Amino acid sequence: MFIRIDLSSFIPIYEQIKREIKRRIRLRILEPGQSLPSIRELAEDLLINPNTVARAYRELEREGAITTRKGKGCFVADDALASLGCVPDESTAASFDQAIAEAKKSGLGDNEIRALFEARLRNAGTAAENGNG
Amino acid sequence: MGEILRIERLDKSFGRSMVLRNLDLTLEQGKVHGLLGRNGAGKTTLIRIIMGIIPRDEGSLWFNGHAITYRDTAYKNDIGYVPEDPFFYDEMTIGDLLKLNSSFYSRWDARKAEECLDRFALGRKSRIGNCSRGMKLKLGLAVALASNPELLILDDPTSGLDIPTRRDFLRDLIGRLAEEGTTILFSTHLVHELERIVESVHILHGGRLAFSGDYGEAKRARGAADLEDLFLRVVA
Amino acid sequence: MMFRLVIKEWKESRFTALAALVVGLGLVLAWKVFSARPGIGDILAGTLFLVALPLMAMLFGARGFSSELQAGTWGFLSSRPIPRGRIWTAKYLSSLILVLAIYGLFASLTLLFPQARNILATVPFDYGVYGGKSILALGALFSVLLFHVAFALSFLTPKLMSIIFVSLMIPVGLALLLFGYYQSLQFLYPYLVGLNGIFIFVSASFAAASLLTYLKADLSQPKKARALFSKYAAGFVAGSLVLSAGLTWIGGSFIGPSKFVWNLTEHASKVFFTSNRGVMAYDPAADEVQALGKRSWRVMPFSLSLGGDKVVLLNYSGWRGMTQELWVMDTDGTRMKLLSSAREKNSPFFDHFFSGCRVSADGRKIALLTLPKGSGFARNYPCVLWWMNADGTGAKSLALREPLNPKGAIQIVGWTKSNQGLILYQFGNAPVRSIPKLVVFDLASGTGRLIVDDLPVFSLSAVSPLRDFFVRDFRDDRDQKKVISILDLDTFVETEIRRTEGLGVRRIRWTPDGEAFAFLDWRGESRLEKLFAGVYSVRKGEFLSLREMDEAPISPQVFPDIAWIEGGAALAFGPAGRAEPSIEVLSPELKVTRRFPVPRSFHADRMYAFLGAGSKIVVGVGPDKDLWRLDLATGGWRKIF
Repeated sequence: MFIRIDLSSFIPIYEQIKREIKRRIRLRILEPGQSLPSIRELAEDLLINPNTVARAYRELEREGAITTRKGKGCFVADDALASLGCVPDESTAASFDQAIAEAKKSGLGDNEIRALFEARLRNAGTAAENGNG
Repeated sequence: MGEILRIERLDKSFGRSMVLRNLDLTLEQGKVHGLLGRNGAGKTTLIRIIMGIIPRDEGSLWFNGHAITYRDTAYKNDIGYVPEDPFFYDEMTIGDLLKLNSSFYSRWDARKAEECLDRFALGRKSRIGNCSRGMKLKLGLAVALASNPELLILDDPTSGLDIPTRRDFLRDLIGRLAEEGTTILFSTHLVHELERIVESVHILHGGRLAFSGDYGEAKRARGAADLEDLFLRVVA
Repeated sequence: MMFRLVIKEWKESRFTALAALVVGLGLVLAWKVFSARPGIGDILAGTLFLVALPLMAMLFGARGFSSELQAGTWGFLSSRPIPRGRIWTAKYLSSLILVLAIYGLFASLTLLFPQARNILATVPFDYGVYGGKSILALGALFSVLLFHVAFALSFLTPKLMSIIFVSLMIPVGLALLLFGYYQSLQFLYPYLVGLNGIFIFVSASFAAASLLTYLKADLSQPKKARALFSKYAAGFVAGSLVLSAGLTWIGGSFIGPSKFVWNLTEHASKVFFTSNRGVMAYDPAADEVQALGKRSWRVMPFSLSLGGDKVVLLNYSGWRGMTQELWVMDTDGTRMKLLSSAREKNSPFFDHFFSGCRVSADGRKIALLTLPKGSGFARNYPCVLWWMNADGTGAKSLALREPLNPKGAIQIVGWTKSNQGLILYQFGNAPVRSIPKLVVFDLASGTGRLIVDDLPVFSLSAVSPLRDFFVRDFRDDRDQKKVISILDLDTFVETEIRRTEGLGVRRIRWTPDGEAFAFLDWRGESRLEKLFAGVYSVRKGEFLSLREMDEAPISPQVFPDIAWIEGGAALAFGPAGRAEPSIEVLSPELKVTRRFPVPRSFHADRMYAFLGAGSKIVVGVGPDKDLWRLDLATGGWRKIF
């Protein structure tokens, strides 16, 4: 993964890394759950001190942007966007609440609600594709 | 974070000129330490004294908490040393040199040595005298790494080498750091490379340490743009 | 770890080792090719062991650490977790082992060749001091010394040439020292535990100094390192000298200068000799050696003389060993008297150098020569002849002149029968370089008379015990025949007793009463071909027997010799013979009556003395200067000294 580091900047390198990774998460260049290069790989790619990478990752983890899974490596956190403040707005949540309440009133169980949601989501995606062309 | 190396009140003269005077230095474990100084400032002398190649006139040295005299040599088992001019026996083959070294170090890792040879594309049967400077440097690093040191001392090993080789060298160092967390003391005046990995900066000037501290903080405190700038600000 | 270091050293030295082997083998081959020619074999053998191999040893030492200094690899070694002492030891041992192995290889090669063995292992290489060692031993000591010096220096400079240059100063200095240019230093020799000990001590000193310097010094500052080394080396070498002197002082001759035996003489049925333990006499009747006089006496060759019941000797005493004392005592060791000393201010001998002393056959008169001291070879001062009564009274002197060259190289042969004159022999060598001659000086008139001009080979045994006859052989220019003649020292008439193709009197031994003499001569050098023996009675004026011996000896290292035994009734003769050297007792007709085999251990060694004493034979054997006696009654051998 290439990140441009400005050595002469007043921003410490670890900070530069953090910012760049966050930026990419926000821009969905990095998806939640996507694996990140190991500390070693990134250090070797960028030719910087692994401690610097380690610090960046540590702080990113603390800030909830990434998670480390033991033995598996580092990944973008599932709720990274939320942690980063990219939460969906209130109205969308409220709509969901309403829909769920109505579905339950119709006598649908959780699984059915979930299946319905998935189907509608799929449908919306295909329609988006077909519609937008 | 412990201290891996501590030096107090070190003096060294050559003839009538006092090269190091009353020098104090402490190296924190696990970090990359940069040793900067002008040519002739005494960096190599300091390193040679640490390595016990030449004796000091006055002062004390502790390695991992143990006091070290000129006669002690056991502590060198835990130090990997890559000098500026790799001093090797031209007549030997690379394999012979590794075999020779393997008998010196208690934690010698032959597998790691093999990996290094492969990664650096060095042949076991090559005669050292026929190797280029870059190959010798890599060999020096291989020897230093295979001994599994706690402290790695590099005395301007990359000067005179081309950029790709220097990059390779740096990459290998970084790999080492990532894996083992070895303490590194890197003496050089090619600050651009050091820039990327240094954590603590020690600047030798006038036989003394004119500056010693965390790079990030120093940069901020002195308003330096980069390592070179910091250096110039300190020695000015 | 050490093992790997040593292997590394050996790998690095392989070229030097190869070169040494090649040069050495070349010399061995040359020796093989030239061994037929006499002299060249000796030179080649000597060159190999005294020059080539020591130089090789020096080269091994020199490359010891200097190659590391040159290549900068000393830094490599120093930065490894190897104890410093171990680095030094690995280099030291690896090089030393190589040197000793190569030396041992060549030494053992030559022991395979019997001819070589003789020259190298047995003949003492007399380098001018007490007790020379065989060439093999001397070469080894020399190699060890040069190795240590060069090795020690190799830590101080990377320049091979400098090391070689300085190391070569050592043999040069040694040669100067030993070959007497600094005669004033010769007093040191007795205190150097036989010079051989000093080789070892100095080598050890250099090694110790080198190790200490390596442990403590900063090799990146050569000047400082050199200064430190010099201090250590000087200290250790001085310590060695002191230790050595101390050991000699304490142990006397026990650890003192190596054994030597000089001045072996038969007299009054006993065999007298001087040694590192003073003057000794072997009494065959009691079959034991007695010490006479003072144990501290140091008597040089030609400085012991026996006549009548008197023993006269010169003791080279004093701290410098150059202060001589003239002593007289009875043959049983009693009544010792100091007649004069070069130390006494009032004595006419004060500050003079005595050169030989002789007592008359009846023990009543003593003669000696003196040279003024400090003149080295006495170039500008004449030799002075002194004579006195055996009690020291009546001393008179005479400055030597024609027909002798008064500058020196003169030996007193003895008193004439009448005690009126002295027979003197002048050597032809330095510093006089004149024709060697035999002269008689009449003491009353002070005039000298030339009795034999041009006498290149002279042996004291050719003069009869009573000093009335002198036997010699020479080649007659007219018919190229060898002539044996007897010169009457009273009338100066020379009588020819035999004229032959080629055999003369190479060995001659008079009976104790001076009535007859036996002689030997032989043909062949490396291989004896013909051996002649004869007995001539002077009283009867005829040959009692004369014959060619049937069994010509084969081995060249055992030259035949003659001794009278048992009141002159028979001769002993040997070691000679085929494969088994033996001593043979001969009848008056020179027929072998009995044969005694010589002990195996003598076979390879040179016999330097062969004397008869009553029913015993005394034989001096080997470079260690042992004395053995053979009991002719029992055939048993015993070491008596």
